[in-house]
Amino acid sequence: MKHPQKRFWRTASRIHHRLVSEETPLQVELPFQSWWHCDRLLRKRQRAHRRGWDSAASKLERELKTGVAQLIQQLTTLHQELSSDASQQQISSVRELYMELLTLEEEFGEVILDLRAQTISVMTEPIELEAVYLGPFEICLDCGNQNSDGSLIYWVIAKDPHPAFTNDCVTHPHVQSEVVCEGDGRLAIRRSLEQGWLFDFFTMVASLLRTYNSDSPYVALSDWDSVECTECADVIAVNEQTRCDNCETTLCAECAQDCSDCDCPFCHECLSHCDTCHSNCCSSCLQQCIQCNADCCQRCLLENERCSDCEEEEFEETEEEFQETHAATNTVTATAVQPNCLGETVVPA
Amino acid sequence: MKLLLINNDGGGFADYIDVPAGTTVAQLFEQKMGDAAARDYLIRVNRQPCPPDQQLQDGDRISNTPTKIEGARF
Repeated sequence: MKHPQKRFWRTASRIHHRLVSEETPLQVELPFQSWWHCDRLLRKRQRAHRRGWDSAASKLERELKTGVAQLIQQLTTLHQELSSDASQQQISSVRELYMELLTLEEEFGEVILDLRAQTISVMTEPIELEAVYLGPFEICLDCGNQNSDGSLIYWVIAKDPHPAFTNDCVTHPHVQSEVVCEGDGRLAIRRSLEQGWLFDFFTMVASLLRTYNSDSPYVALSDWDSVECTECADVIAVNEQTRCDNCETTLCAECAQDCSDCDCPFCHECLSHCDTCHSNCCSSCLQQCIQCNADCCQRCLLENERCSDCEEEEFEETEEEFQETHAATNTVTATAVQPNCLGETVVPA
Repeated sequence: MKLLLINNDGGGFADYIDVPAGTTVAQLFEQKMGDAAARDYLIRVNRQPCPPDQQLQDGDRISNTPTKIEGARF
């Protein structure tokens, strides 16, 4: 045994003291935040429908369904909480807490006690869900601090992180920034922490990490290695994504537009147009005509750095000048070649 | 005899219950958990794994913890 029994006993004693001294009555809060979240989504969805933004509307509808499901779950949990008899709470004795720690060691192989930081940690096995490797997790219970509702705080730390491609903070479909979204287990986990059922707490969190709820993840496993198109919000596989050559935003094949000169992909924001032929062109490829300052693609800008319009205009002007000059020359020539005395004869008066 | 039953499915309720002497783990599970399948639960008696036919003793602590708990984003 790595930890002497004395350390287990000291930890058990501290937890018991904290649980007894911080015992608080059941605090009830209505899920207003979720309600408002759903309300906002509903308004946005209606606005998207009115404006004919079909992709955005369908995305908002998906989010709204998830939001409403969560709201129902929160209300159900609250109902269960109110229905339960708080007086049945029985805080574990020091001996029971000590036994819980011993059993934890048997179950998880090792219990890491940090008496200074007042934390208890266990490690899960490497977790893989639906063929997505997520790695092992450390479940770390902070016995020195408590939530506003009086329950102990804990974190779930990825030891070999393999986060979602779109969000480094999501190391598990139900873990974000080391905090678990407890879902079905919320009330039971909270109750176990309030009463000092350490074994039940750690096994429940481990069970939660080994289970995938596809209805309400932070990032779905099917999208774990996927990205979202910045323009249309469509989800695409990593190997199908295109990045804007300028701002490097992620784009789907439909939203990425190629520059007609360099053929590089660009987003809508970073792509300009040639003032002459109106084809898509990036700012690097566009050059200004030295005469009219119009932005031109390489095909429309001629060797003399003028656009084809200016060139044409100049040609027309030159042509006109030429014709005018030619006409004048003809007149002068006609005068000049007037035969002097040729064919003339002196007529006697 | 009197037992402490902790049901970690849903609300995480704990209650002292009276059961007839000779009640087994499987019988208590069926009685308290209804149609739920025992294979979906981690059933412990006094924090130790137990066979279904183990007879319960006065003062035992029985915990039923689901092996699949679905997380959800709040």
